[in-house]
Amino acid sequence: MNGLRIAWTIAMHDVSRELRRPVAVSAVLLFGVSSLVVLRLALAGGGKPGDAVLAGALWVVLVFAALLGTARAWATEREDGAFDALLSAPASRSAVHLGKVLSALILTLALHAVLVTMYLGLFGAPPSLGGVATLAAAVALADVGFAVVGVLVAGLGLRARGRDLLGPAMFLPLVIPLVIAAVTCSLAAWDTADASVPQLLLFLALYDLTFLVAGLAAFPELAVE
Amino acid sequence: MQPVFAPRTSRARISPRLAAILALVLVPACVLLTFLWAPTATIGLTGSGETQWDFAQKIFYIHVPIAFAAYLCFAAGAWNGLLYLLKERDDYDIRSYSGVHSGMVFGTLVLMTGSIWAKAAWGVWWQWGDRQLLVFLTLYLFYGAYFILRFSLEPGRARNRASAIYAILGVALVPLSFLAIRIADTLIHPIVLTSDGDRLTGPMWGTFAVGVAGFAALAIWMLQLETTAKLRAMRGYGADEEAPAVEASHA
Repeated sequence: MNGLRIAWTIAMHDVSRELRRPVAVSAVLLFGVSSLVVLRLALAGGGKPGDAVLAGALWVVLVFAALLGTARAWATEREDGAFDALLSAPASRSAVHLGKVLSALILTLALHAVLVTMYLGLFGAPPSLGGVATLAAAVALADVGFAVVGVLVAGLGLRARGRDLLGPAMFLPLVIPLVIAAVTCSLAAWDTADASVPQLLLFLALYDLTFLVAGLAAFPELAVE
Repeated sequence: MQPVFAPRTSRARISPRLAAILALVLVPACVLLTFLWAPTATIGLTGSGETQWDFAQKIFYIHVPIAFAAYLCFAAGAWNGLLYLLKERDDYDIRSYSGVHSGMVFGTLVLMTGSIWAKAAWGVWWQWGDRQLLVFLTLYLFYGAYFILRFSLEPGRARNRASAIYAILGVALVPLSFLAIRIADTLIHPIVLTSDGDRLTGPMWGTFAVGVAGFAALAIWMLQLETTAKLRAMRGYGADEEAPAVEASHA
């Protein structure tokens, strides 16, 4: 069985487990929806907030939802004591890591699709179809980044005490460049930033690739028994 | 008795004594040159035709060399982290930790001097449009979490590996942060060095070079002191006990 097939098997296993018993996904979804409702109410008074505030608010919700979701990348294996068994399976550790990234990506994309749709309903959509496409591309590419960084960070803190607090401390500084580019892309989608969208999307892809390669190289070193 | 340092593999050597002498001479020299030799830059002319002097710009000779020293320390942390992953020797883990730790000390000074410069130049303690400050702040926050990670793990191979990997990730974060801020550019920064040629005169360059060399030597000295102390503690030497000759390398 080659690495990609192993990775896909692991990803599908995680996704189907989450679909059967959607504890994490429903909790993160509820968090995201509640955050958007709170934001809508908090920004309701005193005139229309600017596009920069609205774009920033969207990305704050998306970042924290991704943080909560990806932090549980290894949770089941840890809770069941299955992590060492997974490492001793006849599969490369990079393939195991890639499988976790894929499952985190699928779940993050699904969650963010719901949250962004709800956001557009609450706060208004970009004025053009091109703007909607720009926003969708930015969210999709950012989600890849959230998944690769989130799984990497979850792996780093796998054996740590207080890992719930450790995750955000490592995750947030790492995604700052991603958020800067994604927010600027969103502003361009609403025609309020004079930025080069192709350049920004290319940057997001470069970021994703960098941390994907870093994660694939790092995880075998990290997963010492 | 075990030697304090494991056999070295790197040819790059800077004697601790040389680093100490350079730091003790060049850092005070940089301060003196800043006030006595480097000319005060001008901003322009006032409405009445008088020259406006930019005295606050003199912090450039301290602020930028400290930032270089911080980057040097973080680079040493990442490089020794890589060496740890390749060779699995505990002294590289200690060197990597010392690099990140010293980098945070210099990083704190960078943020403080940067804030002072921002207050003098723009009237605010923090300028979110300053590209270099933002990159540095990102790196500072990132390496701040290094200590939380390291001290959340039980000492041993797993901790050393996780710390090494985390230290190395900073190498990717610097260019990506810079690129993100540059592409999303609605930002401003007081430009001292430009692609059209620098605005620094000879004495300015001289003072700056002395500062860079001095703070780099100080960083290397600090790294060596901390590494030596930690290796002594790890290998059971007392503070007043004579250890075998020490000559550390970090770069």
